[in-house]
Amino acid sequence: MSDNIYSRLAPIFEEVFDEDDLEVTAELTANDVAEWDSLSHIRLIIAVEKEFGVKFRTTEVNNFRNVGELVEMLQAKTSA
Amino acid sequence: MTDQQNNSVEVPPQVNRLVALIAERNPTHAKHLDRVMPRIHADEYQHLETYLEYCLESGLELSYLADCYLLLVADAVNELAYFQREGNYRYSTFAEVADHVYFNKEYMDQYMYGLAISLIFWSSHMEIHRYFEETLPLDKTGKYLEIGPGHGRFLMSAMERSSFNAFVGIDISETSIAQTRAVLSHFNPSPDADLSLVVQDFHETELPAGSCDAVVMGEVLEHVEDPASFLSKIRELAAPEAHIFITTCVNAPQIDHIYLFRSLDEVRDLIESQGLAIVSEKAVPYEGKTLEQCAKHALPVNVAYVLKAV
Repeated sequence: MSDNIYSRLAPIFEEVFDEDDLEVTAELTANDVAEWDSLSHIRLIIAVEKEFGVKFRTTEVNNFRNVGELVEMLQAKTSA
Repeated sequence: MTDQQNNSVEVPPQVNRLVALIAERNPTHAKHLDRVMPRIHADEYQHLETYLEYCLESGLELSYLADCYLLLVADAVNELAYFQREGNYRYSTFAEVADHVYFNKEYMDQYMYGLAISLIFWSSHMEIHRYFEETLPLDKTGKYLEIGPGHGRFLMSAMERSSFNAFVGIDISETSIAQTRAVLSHFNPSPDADLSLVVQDFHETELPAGSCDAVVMGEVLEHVEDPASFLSKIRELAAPEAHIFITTCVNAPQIDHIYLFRSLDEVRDLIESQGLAIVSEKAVPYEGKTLEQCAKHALPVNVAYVLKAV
């Protein structure tokens, strides 16, 4: 199931960060992507919300440390 | 983030301490500062340093000032999220923002200090201020009117650099006028100038028609319900050949932005509908983006105009 989530996240990351060859892995963090700033973070979250039909709380938006934790939150929200 | 050094400009000590506090409290924003700081000029750093020293002498602490700036950043991020989701600014009337912003002294104090610091740490604000100074006529005399002087930086620049004899600042916020007055009193940029700062609704000014040789209005149009009326009033007050300078923003949510311009064309059309012509324009896209990317994704653009009455 998480493979499916990563495959759906990949085009979102490419679009938000304008990077065609960005590899979306569980370990990926904001520090690894030059364009990942406050604005991009918001755009990423909103695009993810739209793609997966979920809504993140402010604490969730600000507290995930890497993509892996984002995926865990998505799994929890989409299987609930 | 450690001491920020670019190749040619040394960051003054209080600015350095402020940056360290900001970076410690908001590591994501530290990345933004890393990008912006190498582009700041020495005189801009020195001006912020002097401002910080003034604030410290006034009894404020750097920790408080860092929090003021981060409050501005946090509000901008929250409103950006709202805007990206909903496609509109959160508020659309003056009444909705008046009590918790303009007439809330505690918040306004923080907001004004944060804005003053953002003048160099937000590249859009920095570029717009540079454009203001580049286009300010240095030999023109007469009366200079500024609507919404806010933290007082533009007014201070005008008093330092220009040849205008009389300066008038009108702002609806008592807190804002108090800060402007305190800053100008401390820095005394033009000791012999005739200066008048008034807490007032701009539409109620008793300045005679055609009496102002310069009219400046920075970041006001997006804060009011009827920006056309402000432009019309500027047209009325401007003397023939007056220097008119305004700034506003497109798709730029903030806690007290209520009028949403969705494109630069919308701004231009409004200006021209009120008897003003655009002499020059400076549009600054969001940090790291192009104007085309901003238009495509409804990202913030700051814009300044030199205008003339027609």
